[in-house]
Amino acid sequence: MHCKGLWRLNPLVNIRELNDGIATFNTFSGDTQFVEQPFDVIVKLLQSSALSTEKIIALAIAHWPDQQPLLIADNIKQFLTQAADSAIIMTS
Amino acid sequence: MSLLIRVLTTPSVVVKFTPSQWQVLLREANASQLVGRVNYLVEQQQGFDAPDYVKWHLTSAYKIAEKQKKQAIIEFYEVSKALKNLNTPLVFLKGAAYIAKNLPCSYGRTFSDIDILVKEAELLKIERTLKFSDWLKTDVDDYDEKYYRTWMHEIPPLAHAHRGTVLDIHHNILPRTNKHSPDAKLFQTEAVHVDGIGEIQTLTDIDLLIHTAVHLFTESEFHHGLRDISDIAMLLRHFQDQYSNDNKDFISELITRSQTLGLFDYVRLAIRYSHFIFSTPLGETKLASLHCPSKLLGHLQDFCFINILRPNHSSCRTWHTFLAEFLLYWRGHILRMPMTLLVPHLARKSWKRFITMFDREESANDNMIP
Amino acid sequence: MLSQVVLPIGPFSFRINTDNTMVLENLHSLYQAYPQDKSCAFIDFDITITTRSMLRRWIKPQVDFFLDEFAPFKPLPKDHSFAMLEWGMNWCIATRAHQYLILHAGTIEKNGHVLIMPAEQGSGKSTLTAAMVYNGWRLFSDELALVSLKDEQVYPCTRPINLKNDSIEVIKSHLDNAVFSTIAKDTHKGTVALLKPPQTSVDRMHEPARLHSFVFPKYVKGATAKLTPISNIDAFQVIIEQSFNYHILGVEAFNLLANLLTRVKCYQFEYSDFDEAKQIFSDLVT
Repeated sequence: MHCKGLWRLNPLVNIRELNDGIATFNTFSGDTQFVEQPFDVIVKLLQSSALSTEKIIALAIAHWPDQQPLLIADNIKQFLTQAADSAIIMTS
Repeated sequence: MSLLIRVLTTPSVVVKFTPSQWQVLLREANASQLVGRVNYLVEQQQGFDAPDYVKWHLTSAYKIAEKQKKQAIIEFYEVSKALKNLNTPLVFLKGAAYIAKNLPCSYGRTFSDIDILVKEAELLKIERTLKFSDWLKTDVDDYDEKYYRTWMHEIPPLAHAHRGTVLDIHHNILPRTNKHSPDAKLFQTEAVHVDGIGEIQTLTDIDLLIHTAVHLFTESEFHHGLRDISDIAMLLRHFQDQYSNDNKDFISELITRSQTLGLFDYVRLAIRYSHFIFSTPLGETKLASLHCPSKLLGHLQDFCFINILRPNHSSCRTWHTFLAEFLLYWRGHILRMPMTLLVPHLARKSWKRFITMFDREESANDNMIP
Repeated sequence: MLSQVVLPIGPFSFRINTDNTMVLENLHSLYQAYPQDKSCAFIDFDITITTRSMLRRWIKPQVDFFLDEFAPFKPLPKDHSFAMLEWGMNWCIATRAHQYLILHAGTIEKNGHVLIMPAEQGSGKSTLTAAMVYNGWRLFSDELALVSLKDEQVYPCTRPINLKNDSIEVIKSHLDNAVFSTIAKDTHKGTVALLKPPQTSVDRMHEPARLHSFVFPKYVKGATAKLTPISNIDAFQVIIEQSFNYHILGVEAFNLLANLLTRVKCYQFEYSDFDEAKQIFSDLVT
């Protein structure tokens, strides 16, 4: 049975926190990219733990109880795809 | 003797350098594109720090070279990925190979293009596939394009649309027209592990050195001749050290292999001048075996190469250099092309140069002035 | 017959070798206050500006710029020779001084606080810089901000200020006793002239200072001067775009900028009137 991968921060990426988001630097490609609030929280989380998409969505829903869960889920999935395309995060 | 050559031979001499000597060294190294290498050699001097007024010059050049190295490693990944489905052999040559093998001569060394060796039969397919990965033809006119394809061992360089890297695609070591042109299949390759990428193919250590030697000693223009012979000297020293740890003699094995390939003469020149210019030790090989069979030709070669393999700066040039340039220009062309092709080719080159001299105003926008 | 002039410019030393009378005259008038150090044992940049000989000399004479023996540019018309020297000096620093993160920006200082004003060509930053430095601010540069990787301070490379087209007249009318170079017409930047830097800026060219803020200036006709805070992430992106060597420096530059942006503020600045601008900038650093 195929197990879905866990997301984590790309080990080649350095991150620095700024007052309105985070800046990332990929030490392999030399690319600099930025993650704005509120998605910077996810990236910071993934620096220390490997999490599944579902877990991340669950955490987000708990964090923003007054937002539509389905909307949150959509936004998170979109963000994860974009961040993966930009090589900021990867699945283990 | 030029200060640069002295430093490349015995880097520890910099420890006693005065500001004037640093000035001359930097001038010669800049002209020869060797500042990054000088930084590498200086940093190896234990307990010695270059004085502040010169240090930044050295480290800045080194930073540029290190950035190029990082880009080369990205290209190992990207070019391999682009050609993966073709399942065709792909060998990285020259500067790219030095980087892949993590050789001392790769540190601080600048280079402009990535060189790869592919099967001649697959050339068109490869070109087409690369085009789909945004590798575009650079600006060459129809005649030059034909020259490249028909007679040289490469197609015109391709440039990547976004990354800006330039790819030189070869299908043999020497031009088809060169009388020594060996079958490309005879060259031996090996897999090299590159951190973060995996394995890529390069020539074996010995064949790598043969290739570099052939490349330098079939040139007709020597703008970075000193850098190339310095590469060879560093390669020879490095491989000799490695081989002697296993009680083997690298230079003997190099010579034997080059004779098998019918390329001994180029290797002879490489070892000979590396020894004369940089005092590279010869191991078990005798200097006498590195003499040219014809005494007269030997003297002429010594005159030409010792005078041309110098810093590319007016302070290191004499009328000897001019004469050497002239002779070697012809030698290089004659080696690459038979006379029947050479004369029209050179005639066309001079005509083009003549026409450009009378071009109207250069556009200042062509300058990259900030 | 080549004349030689040795110039200290902030942390660098330049030697200019030339037979060109326009270059020599302008060097004399604009760099007159610079300390002349003939005994300089080590020169960072050895520059030669010569007129091309042969056919072109009489028809439409051209000049060449060399850094030692390397010519990075195509030749330019002879009456652009002083401008070419200045552009060439910028090029030398921007392509070689990788001990600094180098930004395309006007840079000024007051009370130990540096403002870096990164901007596109034609944004008016040089004109704004010129107005400020003749009104209480120290000139670091109108073109290049040098931020040291080692100590994160900003270093001056004090030189004449590049003014173009209308700004030449604007500054002439705004300042008394402004000294200008020969005017070069029809350059790739339009009409260009160089303004002599203030004496005090030249005297203090070896004093670095700490960065206070990034200010992104924009001349908007008729606008009231206004500072608007912008997000540090937005600023980071623009700064990278306006840098000469961010990509060469890689992670070192990334960390330097992150360090700076953690402690300084970033503003968009709209203005049309210099007096208003002066007031706003003064308030910012007191």
